[in-house]
Amino acid sequence: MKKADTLGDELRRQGISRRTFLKFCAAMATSMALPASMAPVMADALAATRRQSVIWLSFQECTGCTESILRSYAPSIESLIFDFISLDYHHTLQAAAGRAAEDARDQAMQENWGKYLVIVDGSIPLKDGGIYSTIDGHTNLETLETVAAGAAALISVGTCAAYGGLPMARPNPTGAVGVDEIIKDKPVINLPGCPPIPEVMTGTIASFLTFGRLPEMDRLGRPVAFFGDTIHDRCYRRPLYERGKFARGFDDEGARKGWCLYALGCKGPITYNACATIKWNQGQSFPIQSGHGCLGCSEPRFWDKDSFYKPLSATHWGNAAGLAAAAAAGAAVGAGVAVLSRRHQDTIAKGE
Amino acid sequence: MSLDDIPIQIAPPQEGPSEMPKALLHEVWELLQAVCAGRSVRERIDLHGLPLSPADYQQLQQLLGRGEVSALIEASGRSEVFETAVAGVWWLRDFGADERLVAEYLEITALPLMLMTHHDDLCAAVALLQQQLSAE
Repeated sequence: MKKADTLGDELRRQGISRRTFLKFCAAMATSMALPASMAPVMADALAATRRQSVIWLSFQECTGCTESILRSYAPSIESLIFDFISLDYHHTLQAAAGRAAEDARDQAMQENWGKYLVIVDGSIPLKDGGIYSTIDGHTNLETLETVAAGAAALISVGTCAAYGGLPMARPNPTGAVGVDEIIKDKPVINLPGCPPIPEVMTGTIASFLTFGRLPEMDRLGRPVAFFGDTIHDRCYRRPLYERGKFARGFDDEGARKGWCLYALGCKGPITYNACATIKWNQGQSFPIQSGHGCLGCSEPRFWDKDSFYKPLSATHWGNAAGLAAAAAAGAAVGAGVAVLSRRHQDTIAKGE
Repeated sequence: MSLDDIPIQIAPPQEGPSEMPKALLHEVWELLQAVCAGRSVRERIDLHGLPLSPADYQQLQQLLGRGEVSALIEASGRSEVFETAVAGVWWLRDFGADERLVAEYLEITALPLMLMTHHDDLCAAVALLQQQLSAE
């Protein structure tokens, strides 16, 4: 593609019409809860942009986040995002290896200095000079600081890059931290989840491409459009919680009837994410719909918050009395839990 | 084994439609009025993001009905468009290449954007046709 070409010009040559832009933007507007009238505006803005250079850095991670954004099923409208960006560096996906791979990254940085987008998956080890994870002879810390210096913005995908994740779990042997613990002079947005929902990643990138800035964030650096409500707030089993209908075992009558999984340790009331609305696997289902409680994977330190199968009332609010009260009092306690979840979010996030 | 074999029964939804379809109809009326008066060319209402129950959805379809025009579009997956019995109110459904519904909305306008050829595409077609004519 010629440097001066817009994304619209280039994709038109590939047979992708403006109608496809419109469809993509209508899907993005829906998933981000933007007014539907924004979709045509987004399509025009997107068509007029240049292809965005993206440098993807992988540190202490499992590649699950990459798997999530790539997905293994049939191409979807959201996967068009790969036509909208120039993925100039990605360990797992690029054909180049060794020196050639590192040179490709340096070249992309030089050509797009101040404008490229950096996506990070994985946490960064700081202990013992950061020696626990190195690439091409450089610690992850050195690489991150070098690449971030010329970035327009950074996107931390996955709970590891956002908050340290599994590598940070007690006793945190490598001194792992998330990106925003290190980079303070650039815009950083967190897309936590283990892994994050693909549409959350594509929606955030598309938002940056069309509006030229990162979307509105909450106090943990997450886009409000996707992390504005708890799983519990939007769960289709919420009415059963309000009525005090709880499954108490994975094979009891309550489980078979699809009752609320709160008593089985569901972390939905304290977990902010879009699983209950966007869902997974082409909108097929999400953990609670499949009969298992939410693990809270998009919250800081979720690995260290006691057993996945202990009810929240037993782990964070003293004892099982809260659960009994919930069963008895229904709606009033339901509302109370929602308030408590917001009020105690910081305490719980620290694993205290 | 299919999903239907998993012995979980979801609590039955509320019987009958809620007030949502009528509320939507009021919104449609206001937007249609704006387009009629020339205060706006095009308005949209996102249906995909609304908590419409199957009964709500069915009632909205009944209230709006089906009009004279319908079309199928193939653009990175299928899109269905039809004008409702309320002239100027169009119902659009976008599917991805994987046949998943990715967007559904009402467009209140004389002609939905999805049916129009964008000016840039039209100009690109001029160049393409010129190329073909030159090759002959």
